[in-house]
Amino acid sequence: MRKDKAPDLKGVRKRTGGRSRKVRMGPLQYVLKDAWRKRSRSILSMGGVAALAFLFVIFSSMDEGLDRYFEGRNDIGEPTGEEKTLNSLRGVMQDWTYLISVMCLILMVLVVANTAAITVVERKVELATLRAVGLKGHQVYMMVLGSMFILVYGGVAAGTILGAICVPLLDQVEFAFWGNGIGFPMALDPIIILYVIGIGTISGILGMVPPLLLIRLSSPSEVLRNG
Amino acid sequence: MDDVHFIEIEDVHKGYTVGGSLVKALDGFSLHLDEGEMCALMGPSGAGKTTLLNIIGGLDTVDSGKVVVGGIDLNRLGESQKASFRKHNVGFIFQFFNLIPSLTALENVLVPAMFGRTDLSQRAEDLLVRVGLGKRLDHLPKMMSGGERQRVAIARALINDPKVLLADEPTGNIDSETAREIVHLFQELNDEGTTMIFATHDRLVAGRAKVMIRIRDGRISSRKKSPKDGMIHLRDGKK
Repeated sequence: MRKDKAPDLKGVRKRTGGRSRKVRMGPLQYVLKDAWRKRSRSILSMGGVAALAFLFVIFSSMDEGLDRYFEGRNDIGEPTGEEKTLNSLRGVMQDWTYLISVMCLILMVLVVANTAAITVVERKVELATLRAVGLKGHQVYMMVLGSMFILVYGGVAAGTILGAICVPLLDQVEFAFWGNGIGFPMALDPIIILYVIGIGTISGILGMVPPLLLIRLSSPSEVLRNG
Repeated sequence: MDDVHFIEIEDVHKGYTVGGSLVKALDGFSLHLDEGEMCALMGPSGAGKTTLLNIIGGLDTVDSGKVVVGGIDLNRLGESQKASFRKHNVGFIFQFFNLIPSLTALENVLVPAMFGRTDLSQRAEDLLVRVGLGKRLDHLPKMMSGGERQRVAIARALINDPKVLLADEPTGNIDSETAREIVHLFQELNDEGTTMIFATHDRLVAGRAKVMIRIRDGRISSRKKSPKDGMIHLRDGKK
């Protein structure tokens, strides 16, 4: 029978001076280090998601601002010129908000899918090696998903924070293209933040479907053989 | 009653479709190895060496035939069970090391234990010292030579105390002096009881193994065993 013992480590601790180094190497550390390794791409993709999240926050805040502006005003006397102008924009803004939401979702899915596909193709040998050293399929998926969710939520957080800073600054600003010197009302509601997180989550999940299929369909042994 | 061997491969067939035509990587291949053996696989590219290693390691499935490693019938395992089998029983070593570039040597060694509950950092450090990299724990792979990277890969393969080490051209990408050191390390590990199977093109490297098997066209074309060793049970592929 096999001599059931670990490789001989006699004298090893003596050579390291007996010191013990605690190194945590978990999936989170792996994912964060991977994001840092590809930081140029991570920042670029995160920037794309942030821009879309920012756009969504701004348009939703304009819609919310209009809603708040008209709260309690509808049935009090003759509408002013400003009210007439803003009222005419109300329906248009709602349509734009929906359009922007759908556009953000689609573009975020594309950003995530594109980044994830490049990552998976570039790292196919690494992912196959992880399988070869004993990681289970779902553990590898989790790590790839983790990388993408860092990107999505990082982008969403950046875009939302930037939006939250800009909304009070832009509130009542007289945009030249509206004309008539009317300040446009804007308001950031917490529900907008929830919406943008929701859009990020859905786009992250949808965008990861093709890359995860790519991993599932590739055989680790074939990847390791052919490189 | 038949002898029970640590590795039992019986009449294994494995083919791949390449460009629309079927290529037989293993064609009725049979091999029995006992625990603690050191076996070198030789043969031209495409002979079936890598396929054989992948099959023994549960990384690839067979078209037909029996594969039993350490009493576990690999044909009966699902993907998840095979992953567990690899984690606890097999250590893989690759020609191109396959280290993760963003991780230090110590972190690379810990990768197979990433989802485990036991803290193996001390063992990882001990293994790196064992392979002569005690001063390179925090170095990234790009800061190391080919031989050092392969040592990290060996330490990684040993982190879960595997029963068998499978190495595919472990010296194929390093200079001959370092190759000798790596093979010496393999011998030490084998002396300590680890079963070793490695594929190589290098005659000198293969000569250090107790068993040398030549594979051609998916079958054993010749075999040689060390004169000191009387424990090997090999059988030619074709029935």
